[in-house]
Amino acid sequence: MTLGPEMQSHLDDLLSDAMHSPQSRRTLMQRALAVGGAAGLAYVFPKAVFSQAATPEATPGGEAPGVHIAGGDVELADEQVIRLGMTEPKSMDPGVSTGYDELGIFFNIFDGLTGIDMATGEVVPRCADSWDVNEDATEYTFHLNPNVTWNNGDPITAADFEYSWKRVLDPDTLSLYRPAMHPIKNGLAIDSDTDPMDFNELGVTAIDDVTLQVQMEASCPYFPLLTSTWTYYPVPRAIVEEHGDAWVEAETILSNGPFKMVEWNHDQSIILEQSENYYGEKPTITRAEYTIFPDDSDQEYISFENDELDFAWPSASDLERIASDSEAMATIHQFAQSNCRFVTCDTKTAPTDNADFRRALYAAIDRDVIATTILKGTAVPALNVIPADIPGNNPEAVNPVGEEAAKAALEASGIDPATIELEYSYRVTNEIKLVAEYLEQRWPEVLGIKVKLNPIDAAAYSDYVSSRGDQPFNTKYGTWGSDFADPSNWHNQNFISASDHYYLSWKNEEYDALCAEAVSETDADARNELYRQAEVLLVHDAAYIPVYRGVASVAVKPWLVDFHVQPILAYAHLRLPKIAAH
Amino acid sequence: MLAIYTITFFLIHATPGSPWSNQDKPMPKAVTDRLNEAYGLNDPLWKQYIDYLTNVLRGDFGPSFTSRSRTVTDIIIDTFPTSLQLGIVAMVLAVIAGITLGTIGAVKHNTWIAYLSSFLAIIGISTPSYVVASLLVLFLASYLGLVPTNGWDGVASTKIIIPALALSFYPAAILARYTRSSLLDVLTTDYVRTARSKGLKDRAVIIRHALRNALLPVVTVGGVVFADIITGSFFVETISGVPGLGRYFVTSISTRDYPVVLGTVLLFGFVITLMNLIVDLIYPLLDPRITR
Repeated sequence: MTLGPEMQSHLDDLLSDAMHSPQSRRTLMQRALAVGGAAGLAYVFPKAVFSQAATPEATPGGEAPGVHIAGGDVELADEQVIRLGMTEPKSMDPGVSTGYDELGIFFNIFDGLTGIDMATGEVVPRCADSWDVNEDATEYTFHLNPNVTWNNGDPITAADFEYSWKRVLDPDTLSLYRPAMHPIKNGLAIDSDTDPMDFNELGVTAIDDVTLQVQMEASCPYFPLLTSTWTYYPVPRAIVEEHGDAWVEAETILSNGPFKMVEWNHDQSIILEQSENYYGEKPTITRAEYTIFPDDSDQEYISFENDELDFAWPSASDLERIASDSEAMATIHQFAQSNCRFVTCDTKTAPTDNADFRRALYAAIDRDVIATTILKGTAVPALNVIPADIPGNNPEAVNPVGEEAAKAALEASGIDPATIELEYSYRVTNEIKLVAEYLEQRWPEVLGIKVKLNPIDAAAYSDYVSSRGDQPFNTKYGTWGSDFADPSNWHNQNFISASDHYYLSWKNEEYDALCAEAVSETDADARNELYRQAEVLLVHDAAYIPVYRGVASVAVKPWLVDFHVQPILAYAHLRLPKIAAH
Repeated sequence: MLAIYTITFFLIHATPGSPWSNQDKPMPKAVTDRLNEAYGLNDPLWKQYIDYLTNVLRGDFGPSFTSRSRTVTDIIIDTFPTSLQLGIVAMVLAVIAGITLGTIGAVKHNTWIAYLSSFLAIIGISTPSYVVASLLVLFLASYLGLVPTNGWDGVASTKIIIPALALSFYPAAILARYTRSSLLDVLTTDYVRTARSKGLKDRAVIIRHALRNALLPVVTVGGVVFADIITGSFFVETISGVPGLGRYFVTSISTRDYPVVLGTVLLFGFVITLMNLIVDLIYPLLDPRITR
């Protein structure tokens, strides 16, 4: 272990860079899990899952969000081999994974009941040919394609899905993603702290080989979206039971997608090859070679520049370096992420229990400076909370901003700024630190208050947050990324007082009532309207002060065509892409 | 080794945070409780201390929290041979370069060649390996395109050039300095003067008589340096994409992967102890008086 003392100080920066750089999908992937008991919906994906919004206004400019490179009639290369980068997977078991870089592998080697069409973002059938749903969306019946098989040719039956879903809640599985099953009936009861139910009581039943019936805990109109995600993928029972946690190693793993994993050289590479037994349409790509980069490496984009990769995630510093190089910039594609970084305020403790004071904090932040100067274009300002690609978002749910508005709000609060020393706690990564330092300088400048920063080690931050329920704080960093294109994933999941995911003790009865009404509303327009009204209250109360949203950049070689990256779960899916002759 | 274990164990457990906490948003308590229970993290510290120690004595270093399909032993088996191979190649380079430079520096004392060698040694000591590695990637891979920017294919591949050079830079400089100062001392001793007065050639005096004695302190330092580089370097491995052990020393701490921290630290302690033993065994070969 060579780690000279002079290197030690660089270490934190390196590590934190890795945490924040857009190079890493991890930015998009602020892993999140639900707090059990969130009303109606207790389920969160690590990063936004589905970009395609249900309503047209969700895609401003009429362009599908994400990266979409058309193919057309191009001459194809003889060798359809794609080369990509990733980081070492945490768990290659879809029932366990919280959604790290292994997702990029999952999407290509596994098939769920449903999947997402990368070009349109819509839910499409995969293992299930079709499904029926009852009127209030509390019961689903999936009809499996009788031809679906594992990569070794063995058939997949409804019982495989029943086993795999129940296995997630089996205490022995030690899944990190148990809440994924909470929308299914008894999911929450199985995870009850006080009196847990047996995991076999989960509301999923294989009626026969090709029919899977699912009872929901509550109305869940977006369930077919959920079944396209990795926690709902089937796992091969015999192999799992024989090999335990190690079943996912390349020697033993069995999956059911268009590709199969043939090599996993830890910390080095993963090789996928087309599966000869795939029941669906065969992809054009025959082989995928993933180079595994260390978590905190800047080498991925350098490899791309050296023509060693076809697709890569440049870091912020890479982007700065190539900004004036038009040839290099031509390979860069940018898209807005479906997330929001905000300042959260303690509403049980002075001075942030004062809504006018919180609005003063909201107004004082110059979001353009953060987006363009501090974060150098890797962010866009956010004045409302819900991102534009989520239906029911309300871009008009904003408070007045600027120095005048800030001073007016401070005046209205009746608080003497000279008496205030405001603490701001944050998770120490580069990006978050930069913004914290801006706030430390900006709030005093505009409001005349003092600001004290309280940096918290990345590995200790979520412990800090979850201990704030009964302990005072002033303000702290918070973030959320869409898990799927439904506003309940934001409001009901996080902000209603029954969830209070960020431990702010914020309660607005009118807001809670609107969200409760919206989540069970089956008419999409009426539902979105209710959520738009709710967002006005959410932003007006300013317990959550939206600041900015991330912008992701990917680098794509010109010969990679029919290539799509969705802004939510932004991984390279290999079903559609082709390598053009070059 | 017990002291190393004890100190590491309590340090890592005294650090705030938990293996499941390294993210923006909290995990549900039900999930973390179950994980803590399964991995024994709910037990009192003294029990965890004894349990882990007993397991280690049985050869079981425990599971990795962050790489679920592997145990700590798997990780060490996967990564240590890589670091070892790379370290040996780097050490060979370092010994050749270091002793040559140091000898030149001592023999040509006060000439421009000596100054140049001292200058190179100082550069080597003061340049962090990540700078060297980055520069090598920039020149050898990006500009000249002689070698790939990163990767690992074993010792017999051009991919080893960048990490081996980067890794050997610092130890070479250290060895050069020790060789030089130790050789300078030896060159003024009586027996060297005797050897010269016998009419032996300069080359024979230096290699047969002076250098052999001068190497004693160099071997001592070399042992520690060698233990250091065969257990991997975080920066060099990170920059040149070598799947070695070094990165686990660092990432396991930031992710609070307790078993990996303990396993790697114990391994490091073991290697250091082993190298010291080997160094002690080499002394008598260089200087038979030591056995008496």
